[in-house]
Amino acid sequence: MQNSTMLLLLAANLLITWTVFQLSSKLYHYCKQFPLAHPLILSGVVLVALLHTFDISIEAYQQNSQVIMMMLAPATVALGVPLYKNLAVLAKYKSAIFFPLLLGAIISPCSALLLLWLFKVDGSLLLSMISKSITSPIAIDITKLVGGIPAIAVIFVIISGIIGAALATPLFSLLAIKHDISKGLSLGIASHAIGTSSAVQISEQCAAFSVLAMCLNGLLTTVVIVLFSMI
Amino acid sequence: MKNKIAKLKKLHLTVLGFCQIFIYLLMGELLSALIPLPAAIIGLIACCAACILLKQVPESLDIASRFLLKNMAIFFIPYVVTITLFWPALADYWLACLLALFISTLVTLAVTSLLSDKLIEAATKVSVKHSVNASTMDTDK
Repeated sequence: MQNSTMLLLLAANLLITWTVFQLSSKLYHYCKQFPLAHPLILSGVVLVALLHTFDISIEAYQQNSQVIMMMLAPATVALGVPLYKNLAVLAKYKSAIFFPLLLGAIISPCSALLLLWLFKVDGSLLLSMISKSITSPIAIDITKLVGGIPAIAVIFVIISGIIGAALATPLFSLLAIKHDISKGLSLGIASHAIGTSSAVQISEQCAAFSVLAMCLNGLLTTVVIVLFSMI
Repeated sequence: MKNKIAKLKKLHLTVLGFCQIFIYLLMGELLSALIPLPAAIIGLIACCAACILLKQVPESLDIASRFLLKNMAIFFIPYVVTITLFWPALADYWLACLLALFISTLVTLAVTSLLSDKLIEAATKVSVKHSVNASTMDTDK
């Protein structure tokens, strides 16, 4: 009995989350991709509102979304396919990848830290901000290393992901970015896997470069932080 | 009837592809004890390495990966919803944090995409020049 109610709850959760997401994607396209109507923002808001009106706790929702959350790992593995398909292009543009990656890996945490310092925020919040552009499983490890709070670091990671995913398209057209390679690269550097999920919508090439940037940025930052913590 | 067979074949391929992805993920789980990287990232590298060894993407893997990637954003939604759970911890600083994230993400996106676009442009110009030189040399001969 207990088991069947559990299964029912899991299925209901999956169905509701999926429906809300599909509807918000429709609305996003209907709104001509207005950034605030991005499916991740819209469905987040709608789901929180739904949970609130039906008096369901966020913890209960989280408990029953384990299946959806678990699917993130195989989806990450699946990113290996577009990466493989673009290996030749990747080898061709080695230097065009390396320098933006290096610059982005430096600018992203440093600009955030500088801004927080200007806003007179310090302590563990500041330390949790360092990993904000790194994919969350790596970000958690980095935050532990530097002495930040992992739960808060994950919030920062998700928010920078959403900002990148929602604003990338208008920003790219404003700056007249021509190549899908550049779009993918910057999305992967600034917004890790969430940015990659919107790079997938642009093109397969864009996705491949986003994956690459995400992985390399994570590796690069980890190496730098580990070296620093040794000193 | 033919349609049904085609559908069954596609289902079979999808399941097969998912099996492969889960095998790479399992490899990642096992190897993450040795390599200080998350299991999913090791799985990603394993998946790409397997394609390099096979010199192609198996149709089954391609179908499964397309399905997962198309729906990738959905898997983030529970994480987005749980932000509200930790929000009180940010209490007094939420505006500063949000502004910092907002500005630094936009700056990073802009700088990296502009630089990369410039570098690609430069690289293609050089290669065009090279090919022009090569063709003129050919005509000289």
